[in-house]
Amino acid sequence: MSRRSWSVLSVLAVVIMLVTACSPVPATQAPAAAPAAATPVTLTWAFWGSPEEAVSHKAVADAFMKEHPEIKVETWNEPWDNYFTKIQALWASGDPKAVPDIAFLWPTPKYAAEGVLENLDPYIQKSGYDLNDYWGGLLESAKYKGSVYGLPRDNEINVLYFNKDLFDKAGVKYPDENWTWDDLLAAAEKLTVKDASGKVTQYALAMEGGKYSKWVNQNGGAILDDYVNPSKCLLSTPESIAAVKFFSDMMNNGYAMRDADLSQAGGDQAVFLSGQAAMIIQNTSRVSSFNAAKMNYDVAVVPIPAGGKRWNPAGGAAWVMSAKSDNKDAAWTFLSWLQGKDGGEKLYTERGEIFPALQSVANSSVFMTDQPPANKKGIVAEAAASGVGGFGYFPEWDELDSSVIGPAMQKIWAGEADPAQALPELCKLADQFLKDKGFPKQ
Amino acid sequence: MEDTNRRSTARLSVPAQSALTVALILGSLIMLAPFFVMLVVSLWPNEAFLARHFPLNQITLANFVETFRVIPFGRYILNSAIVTLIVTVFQILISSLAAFAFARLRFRGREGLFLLYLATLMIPTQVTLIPNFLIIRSLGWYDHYQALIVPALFSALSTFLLRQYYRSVPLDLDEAARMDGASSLRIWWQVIVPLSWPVMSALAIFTFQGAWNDFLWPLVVTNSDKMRTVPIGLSYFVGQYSTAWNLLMAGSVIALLPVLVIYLLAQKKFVQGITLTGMGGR
Repeated sequence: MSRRSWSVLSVLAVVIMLVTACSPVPATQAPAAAPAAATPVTLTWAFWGSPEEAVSHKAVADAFMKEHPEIKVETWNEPWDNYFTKIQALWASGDPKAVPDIAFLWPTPKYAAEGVLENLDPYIQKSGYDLNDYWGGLLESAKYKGSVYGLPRDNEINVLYFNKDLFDKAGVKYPDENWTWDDLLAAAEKLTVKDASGKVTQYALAMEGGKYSKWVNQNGGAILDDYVNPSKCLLSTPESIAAVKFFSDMMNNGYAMRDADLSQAGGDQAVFLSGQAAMIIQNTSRVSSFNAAKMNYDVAVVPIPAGGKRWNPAGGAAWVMSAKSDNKDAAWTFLSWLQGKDGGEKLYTERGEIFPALQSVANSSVFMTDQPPANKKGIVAEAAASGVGGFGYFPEWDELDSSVIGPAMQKIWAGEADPAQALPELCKLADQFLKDKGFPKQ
Repeated sequence: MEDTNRRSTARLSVPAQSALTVALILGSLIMLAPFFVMLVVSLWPNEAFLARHFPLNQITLANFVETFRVIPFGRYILNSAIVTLIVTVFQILISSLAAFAFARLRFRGREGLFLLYLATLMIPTQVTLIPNFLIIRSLGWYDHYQALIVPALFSALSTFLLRQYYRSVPLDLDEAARMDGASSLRIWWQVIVPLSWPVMSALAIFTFQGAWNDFLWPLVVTNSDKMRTVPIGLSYFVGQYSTAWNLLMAGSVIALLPVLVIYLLAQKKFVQGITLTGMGGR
């Protein structure tokens, strides 16, 4: 044989050695799994996030295992945007060993409809777990056909963040709980800065277009007549139209950033940090980055229309139990500990990672710290106004929102459509969509 | 090939040639722009990118260091390297043997079998994902190198491309070798393989690139940081509420380097291969 063929053969040999060197791994793991059944029960716990973000989840798992030595929790994390691809593939495989016992999930009803989640009602009844501690409307996002399928970890509380320096510079009083839409408009006029050519260099407000339901519900309007079993779109009512017009007029006047400009500029976090926007309306996930940047800011409740009501869209990803779990009792023990006021909820809140789903934790010293923002009471006031109305709880909602409602709204935010015309048209399409999907269902 | 090029450009008038040059430069600038953006974003803090403002005094290599701190990127690179090298070498070898059989050996049902191979190209990977996953699970390979390597060892596309090329090699060569007493395996190794280096190296680059960038399959069959590959590591920088663009781009620069080096080393063969397999026009 030539020298070349010898070198090819030796590469082959090395590769074969490499491959065979890997193969003893399953062999050594298989016997290790067998005695584990006799000692602690092992649960797999899935969530999204980078290895860095997983650190705090692992600390929570460690705290649990200290209290419950009979249960071993193994964590499992995937990047945010691929988590759902992977978990669906695992469920589709139908292999109970591969599927995590407890998983972080959103939206719960969609997965419950697929039959992959365990109905938690029997466990809640048996253990006497307290559902009344959850904020109003929050559990609706984790229910399917009237049964609880998940326990929400946090509640998305949208508050008004304001940059104190920019308010001081413009000589505007800080917003408080008495502010109405008129006060917001008056402040917006003073906080908007334009250059000589008329181009806006500082916006008064930046808010994602998708959060419009806040204005609509505050003004007594609604997206749908029922969010579980809808029969009619209500965005064409005078109250809804006036609310959408309030927001789109702010964009048309240059007070608020257009939705497309906002995402182009890197989102509300970026424009607030850079001082391009004096106020943003967003959930509490921004707090840590504004604190890290040592910004001079505070939060306030979002202004409401005269005669309107405070309203916040209840919602948060939930911990669910897999219907395929082979350790369901242990899984419930872990789940109820995670969502107990002395367990996971407390630890996540202490780390400043969530606004807790449980009222008792939000009102305790765990949340009411001296860390900024100072106005924690404002956050709790918005949380107390949590309710249904931000999105549908039926599996077809995503499709309705992305194919019918979203595109029409985008035109309004871009200043290409008048709400008074566009919203009735939108509702016609939405009603047809609901009819085609067989709504209202009996 | 260089000769024909020189002759054809020589025929062009001066204005036409300069127009051509300008058009080509513009074209390459457009193609290079995304890479330039990637490099710029990787060299500044994330805030600089969000503000679309890149002051020269803020230029930094910290993102590259940070990439390795936030995720076990070194381990991911090692995994990707092991998987990609083994897959590339073996896929070419195995596909080459299969292509040799389909192109040079006569046996019953050869054409039918080959059509079956081709038919597998029509099935999207998403369809075979779950069945393949179940097979891997039942073999106990979930979250092991075997799961990343074995399914990629054979490729119908590589077999097809190599077979087409082998068929263009005159049969007389085989016959002459057989008269001298060579076995089929020896004909493959000493006649066919030496004549098909260009196409094989081009194929090796495609395979390398495909294995290095593969995302969906490694995502589904790996579970721990020990087995993750580079593309999955990169997607960690895209978070629920925000994206670390600076780290994502720094990681992308690092991930691009091996492919770039291989491409530059084998550029000539690569271009030849594209021409030979009919995948690009000249």
